Amino acid sequence: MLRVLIGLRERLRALFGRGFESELDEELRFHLEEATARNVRRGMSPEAARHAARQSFGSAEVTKERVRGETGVLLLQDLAHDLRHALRGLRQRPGVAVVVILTVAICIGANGAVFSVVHSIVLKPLPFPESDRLVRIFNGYPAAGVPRGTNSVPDRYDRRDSIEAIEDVALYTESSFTLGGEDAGRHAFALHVTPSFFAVLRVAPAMGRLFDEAIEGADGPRPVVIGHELWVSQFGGDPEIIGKDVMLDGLHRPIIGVLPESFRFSTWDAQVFSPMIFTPAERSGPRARHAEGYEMIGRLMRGATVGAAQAEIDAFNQAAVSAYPADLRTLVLDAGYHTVVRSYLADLTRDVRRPFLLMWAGVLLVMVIALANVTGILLVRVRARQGEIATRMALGAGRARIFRQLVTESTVMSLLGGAVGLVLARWSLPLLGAFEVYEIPRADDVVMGPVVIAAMVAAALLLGLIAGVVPTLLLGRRRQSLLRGHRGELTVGAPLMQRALVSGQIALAFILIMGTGLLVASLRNLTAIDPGFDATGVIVNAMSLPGHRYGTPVARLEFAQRLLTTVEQVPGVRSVAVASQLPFSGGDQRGGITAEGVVRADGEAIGVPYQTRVSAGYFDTMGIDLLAGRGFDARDALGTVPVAIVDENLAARTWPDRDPLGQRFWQGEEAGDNAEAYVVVGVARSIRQNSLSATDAAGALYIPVTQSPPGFFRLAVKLDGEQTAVWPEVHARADELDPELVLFWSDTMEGSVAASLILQRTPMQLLSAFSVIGLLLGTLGVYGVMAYSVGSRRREIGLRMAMGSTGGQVAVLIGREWSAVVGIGIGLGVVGTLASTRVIQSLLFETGPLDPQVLLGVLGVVLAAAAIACLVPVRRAVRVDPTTALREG
Amino acid sequence: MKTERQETKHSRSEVLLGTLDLLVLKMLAAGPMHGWGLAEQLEEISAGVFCVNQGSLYPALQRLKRKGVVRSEWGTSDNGRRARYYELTRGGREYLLRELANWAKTSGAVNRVLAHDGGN
Repeated sequence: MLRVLIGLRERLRALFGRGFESELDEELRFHLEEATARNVRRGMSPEAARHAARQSFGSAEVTKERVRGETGVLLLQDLAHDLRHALRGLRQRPGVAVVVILTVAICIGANGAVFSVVHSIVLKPLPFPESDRLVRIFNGYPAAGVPRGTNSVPDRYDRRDSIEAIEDVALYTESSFTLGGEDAGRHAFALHVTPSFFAVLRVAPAMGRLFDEAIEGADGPRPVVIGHELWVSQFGGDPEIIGKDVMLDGLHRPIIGVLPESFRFSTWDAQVFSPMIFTPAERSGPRARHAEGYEMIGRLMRGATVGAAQAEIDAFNQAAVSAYPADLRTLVLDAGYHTVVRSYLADLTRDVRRPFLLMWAGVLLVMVIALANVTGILLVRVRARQGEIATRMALGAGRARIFRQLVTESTVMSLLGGAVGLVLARWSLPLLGAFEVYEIPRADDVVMGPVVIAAMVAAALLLGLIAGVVPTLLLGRRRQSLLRGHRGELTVGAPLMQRALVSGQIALAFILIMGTGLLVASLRNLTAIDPGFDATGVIVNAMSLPGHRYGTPVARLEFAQRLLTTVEQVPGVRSVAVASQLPFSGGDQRGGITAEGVVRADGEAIGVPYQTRVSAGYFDTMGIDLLAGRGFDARDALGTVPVAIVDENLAARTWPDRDPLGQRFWQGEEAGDNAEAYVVVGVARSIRQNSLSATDAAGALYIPVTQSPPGFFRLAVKLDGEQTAVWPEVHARADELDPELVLFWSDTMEGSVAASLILQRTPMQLLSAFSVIGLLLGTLGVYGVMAYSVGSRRREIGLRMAMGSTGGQVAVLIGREWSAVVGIGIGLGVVGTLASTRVIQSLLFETGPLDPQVLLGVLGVVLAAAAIACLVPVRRAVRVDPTTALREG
Repeated sequence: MKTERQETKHSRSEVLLGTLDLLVLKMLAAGPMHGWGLAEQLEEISAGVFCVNQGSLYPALQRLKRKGVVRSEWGTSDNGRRARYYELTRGGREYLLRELANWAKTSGAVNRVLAHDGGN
């Protein structure tokens, strides 16, 4: 044991002892001087004495090499020595070092930034205990146009009580409150949640307590839990807040708990949590089971899987549906009713996963290009250092040792580059905002955590190792000629490794640029789509009417009309409208309808149209064409016959062989016995509601606000041209109407449409940036290899020209060789693009993986870059005077 | 040509590897000594029997240090110069005894074989 420790100390001393080398020098000097002195004592002349001492000692350099060789079998010692040697080497050849360090820094910088985003958004577990047990559950009716729906109240009790794999579930729905009291007019986002909500998430309160089932039987006003931010902003961080009241929509609600600062749930930044309590009657029954409207999260039993929960719910649904009355059974079955259980993280990231993985793939390509680039540089450098290497080998340094030293050098450079890159990455994280990365859902919490840093260090290390090892393979083969001291032998043609590096970099750059080109083309196709409405100069806002003051339809309608009149009078406003939801504003409220006298064929699903309640000016303001019938007007007042406007798609689906005008229908899945039927008075053009790429086959239904005034609505204002100055005026006038109410979520309609393309635009922009980097690195890399390759053939070129070849002929000769290499690179690039189709295709819109226009453009770019990288060195080579070239060899 | 020379050198030091270590340890058992002193003694002991390249001593000393059987310290030589002295560690003494026993056994066996051969 002791010996092990001593050995270790000895190794560490050799490693860290500054004086290892100088002590060795001193020791050997002492030896030689003593030996010389003894020889003198024995009667030799000083010179002969020194000579004899040296002779019996042998080569001091060889001895030193061997002592170093004995410092330990551990790589550690060699590493320390090699590190010193490497750093010395870098100082001696700063040019190469700077290029390599910069290349690695750029690639680690880009990778670090993107990986930070990918890790923070897509990979990192959610900030809840055992978050891998959290699931999202929803019902879908794909055949009816609702692939992803919500959940009902009975679902909450059924799934908690009957599904073994599930510990508990919670329902929640997004809402908002008007905060009353001293600071009137503030608006707070809220979640209505079942009492199980916080238990499912396993959140502990920062203060007070959270909801539990006991709340369901309690009397009095329902308590609320508030978020940390509201606690600070509204209550000044009052430590005695628990038990005090908060005014929400005019009602006093006791605060029972405050959430921790770190609590974040979904992108809805809710600051008020209000419990939902259901009556026993609401909790069961076939009809209630399909009266959905709530999101659901659940927690799996420990050890249970998503698949197990899914299978149990499938079986449960099947049993439940088979017990339904026949008409309801066929209704839900024809609509394709089913339930989906998904891991919560996977579900949250379902839309962003692919775009982010694509961006990641793009930046990894940059990394591989950088690897090829650095490998090329080091390859050239190893060949240029043949002399030094041969000398060291002759001094007895083992081959393995030389290998190690070269690899240490490349690794040191790569790690230095990685360190610079990490700083770059940290700096460039905020810059990603320019690519709208932080507008992407969930992207508000991007940090460069230890996982990212470790991954980047590992990447830099790996890059350095590979880039260092590859050139030493060449060294292995060439060792004999190195030892003989051969240099500058006549080579004809470029060695395989150079050709491979050039082809590889061209292929990688091609794949990267091709992917970017496809995204550009796809986005162009998307933005060329006519959404069916004209959003030019339209600004949109939201407003929420608190229930306590606007509890009746009359009160809500009266306010809406006052708002419309006020805003209409603002100079510069052309027209104005309110609507319960607007296109491209995220809302997707739908409801099924039952048409009078239309019998649904067996197996045909009901349609569930997008439903919005709009004011008379809606179609004008939004620039939606009315194709038949009339718009809404003063006739459509509260209490008169309910009317509706349907869009083309809904009309075609519901009344395929009749004139839709004058047709009657009921809301819901069956003909209403008591409810009054709606009469269709107009047909509007179909528009894209929330996505430019998806047509909405289920269609849209418009109902006049005058007959059904909503408590939450959007205000759309069409301005005369680009009058941004009007915007604050609109706000000011609207806010004057009621001091408690404010307009929020203000945006332009064009901005809303553009925002819907973020998952296409951001990857496209980032990949464009990566393409520029990749193309630059690739071009530099190809140039470097070419310059070296052509340079090492100066004798051959000189010989050819001495024998009568013209510079042009030589250029053609070399050009022919390398055009094959470039061709192979492009061929590989096409193959790589096709191979990546599966990844990229789902993000493309009406663009094939080998879109001819894109292909041509990318070919042009890559060929131009390759031509520049190849021609410059060739031109320089053929200008060389043949006699000079030959003499140099 | 250089390759050949290297190989020759290698094979020779390999032959000496075990014995050189043992000789060094044996010399150090008498007390601390610097590399030059060991080389001088080695020259006397081995004179006419085998040729030792004095340089080979230093890798051997480094090897023994790494094994923890020898430690070194800078001291002052008889003529007042700074010199690196080597001495046996406690583990080194045990190691030496064990190795000497081994050596006796091995060399005894070799001698018996040789004697047997000679008898033929």
